[in-house]
Amino acid sequence: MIHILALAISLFVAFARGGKFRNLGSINFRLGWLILIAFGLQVAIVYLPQLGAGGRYELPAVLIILSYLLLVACIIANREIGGMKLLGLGLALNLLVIAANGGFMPISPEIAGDLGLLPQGSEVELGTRVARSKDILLQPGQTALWILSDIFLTSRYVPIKSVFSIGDLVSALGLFMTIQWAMTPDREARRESSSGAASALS
Amino acid sequence: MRISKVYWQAVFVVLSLISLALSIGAEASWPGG
Repeated sequence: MIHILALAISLFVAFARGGKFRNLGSINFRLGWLILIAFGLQVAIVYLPQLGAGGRYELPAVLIILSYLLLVACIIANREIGGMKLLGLGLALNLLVIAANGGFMPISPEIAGDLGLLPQGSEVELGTRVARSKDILLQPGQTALWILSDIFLTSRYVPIKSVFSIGDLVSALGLFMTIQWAMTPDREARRESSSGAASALS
Repeated sequence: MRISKVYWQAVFVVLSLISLALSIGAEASWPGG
């Protein structure tokens, strides 16, 4: 949710600043296929019961951590792109808390219940996974690196209720910065001045 | 109407960036909220 919001706001701000959508096409984006593999793996773990069955320290948890490592490689390959370091920081924060809690993002039963993520009228068992998410139910006292887990709720002014982590917030900010960096006239000017300097030297 | 190659590349970059951010993100009700 906050990533979609960050993308929409960033596109709007970039256009308002005189940015051009086609400037995004001139980015030299490397190893993009790693993202597709990582995203596909996560979708399969979250939505396919055959592959996604299993709790902490089991196969799906290992595959989630593996998918994050693929993203690390992609971010390192694209570290020169503006905003990518913030995306990397967000990734590192989420990966830390996920790895420290057995391969899934911890969320408290209270918050999950408030958001309607738990089945109605059934007993809540700690350590079980939340449907359609990368989250696992854990009490704050049982959660390693609790401050980095899913603890922030979206404002009541946002139409869709969701809960997110510091890593989500930082990566959303990184996405915002990347769009600004790529689309706005500042980058065009930098590119033209650097090509001008190159032709002057040749 | 023919859409130029650079626009297709821009669409690919946006899709890659949003997939990257969603893959990094671990919001409850993943991926879209």
